[in-house]
Amino acid sequence: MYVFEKLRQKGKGVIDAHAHIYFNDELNNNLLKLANIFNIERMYVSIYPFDLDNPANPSYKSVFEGNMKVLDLCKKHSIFRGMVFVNHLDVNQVDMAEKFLREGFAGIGEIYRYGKFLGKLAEPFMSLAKEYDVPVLIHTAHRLYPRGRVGEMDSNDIVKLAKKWPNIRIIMSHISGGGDWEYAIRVIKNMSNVYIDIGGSVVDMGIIEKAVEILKPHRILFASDNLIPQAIGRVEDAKIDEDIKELIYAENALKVFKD
Amino acid sequence: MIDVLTFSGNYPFRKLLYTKLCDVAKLMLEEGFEIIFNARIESLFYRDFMEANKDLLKEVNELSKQQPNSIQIKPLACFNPDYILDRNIINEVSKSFAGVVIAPLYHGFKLSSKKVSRFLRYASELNLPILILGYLEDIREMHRAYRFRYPLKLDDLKTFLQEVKLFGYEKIVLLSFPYQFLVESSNLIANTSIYVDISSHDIYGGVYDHIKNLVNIFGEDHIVFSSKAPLSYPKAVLFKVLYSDISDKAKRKIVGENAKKLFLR
Repeated sequence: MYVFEKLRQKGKGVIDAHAHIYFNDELNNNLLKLANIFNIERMYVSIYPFDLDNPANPSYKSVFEGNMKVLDLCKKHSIFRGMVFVNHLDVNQVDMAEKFLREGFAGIGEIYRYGKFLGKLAEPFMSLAKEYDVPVLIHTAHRLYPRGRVGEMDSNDIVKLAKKWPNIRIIMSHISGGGDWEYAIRVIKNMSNVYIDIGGSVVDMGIIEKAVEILKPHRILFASDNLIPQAIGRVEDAKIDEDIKELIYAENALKVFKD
Repeated sequence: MIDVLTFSGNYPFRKLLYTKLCDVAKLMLEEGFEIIFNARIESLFYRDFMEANKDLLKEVNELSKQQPNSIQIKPLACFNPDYILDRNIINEVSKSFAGVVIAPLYHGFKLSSKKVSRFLRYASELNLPILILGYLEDIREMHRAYRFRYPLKLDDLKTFLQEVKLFGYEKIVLLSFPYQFLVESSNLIANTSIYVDISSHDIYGGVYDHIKNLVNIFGEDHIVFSSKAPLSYPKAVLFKVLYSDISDKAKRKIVGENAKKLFLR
């Protein structure tokens, strides 16, 4: 029996630390259906970045509508926990972020690839995360060849941010999202406030085992980035103890989100 | 269940958890597979690919003597038609191997080349299944030595498929090709007997359900399952099919029945 099914028998469920809501409810319903199949009891969701009006620099209005869509679905479905999406190039969105955190959103992110989330661009949002004691989920590319995309965070940037904000819980997103994951895991090894989520489309055998070996189990969060079968398959196939799988599936996220 | 492409051996760019054929076989048996097709990774990188093919054959034979009732392992030979195109070698391969893998990206040739056409002709005379390998791993993590030298090109694939259509030999599988390549070549693949597989990282399951789309485009009789284990987690690939919104009958065909038809000689 799979571990996610054993959790169901114990009256527990999987927690997905990184997923997205769409403006299209047919896709949202597919997501709910799959969550039910795979015993996912909670999903931390933000609006899907490609649903916004400008993929490189979405407007305040579009981001606000996205967050409202998430809020609306959180009210309808108890499985969803909101993450406030922001375009960090727009300082006006700090107030927007605060509004949704006051509404009960559980964190800030996914901070997307609109520009490096460092220095002055990051400061107001990280301060807000500190004030509300919530984690920040950051889209990260894991060392792409021949070089990273302009404005996209990589694991070295995550280290810079984590050093500047040692008391903020930072989730380096989708370690399975493409790129050199071996390098990324090693780079963040000593940053105890950095967690990884295992989402993404890459299914290289060994990702989970390597993360457990280098980072230790408590810094690894289950996440699908909406590719649920692949994410569950990754954990189920990993050659690690079942109690570690349970930590990854649920318990680690509870600590990071303090939820 | 049948997996039409697993590997054994060492991968030059990443340490794998399993390298010995016996360990891969054990893993796949635990995953519930009855038959696996296996190729030697080194045969994609050695100049003399036959050396690695022979190593595989030796290991398969030893293993079948040791564990006669275990999982069935069918060896696949990797072949570089651009390096050597000897009818006798293909003949020899057809006697000992279940099929041939060609890998334009790793062996550095174009699918539209004349040598590939000749290879196709020789293989067809022997009714030898041909597995055309796209990417072993996600393009974003590929080593620069390979990523930029011989990139897979959609036009090249289309030219090859046109040639295949004219030639009429269709015992061919497109393995681990990007989703978009398959969709954009669909007019050349649909209504033929060519198979496609679902192991590519960008063939998504779940919410996006690319498996359902591929079934709609190519038909449930023309899709096979490969995991590329131990490069990939088998369940992560398998779950895309098992939890897809397609019929149970279609799932059974994809994870087993179609492969039986493909490799029947």
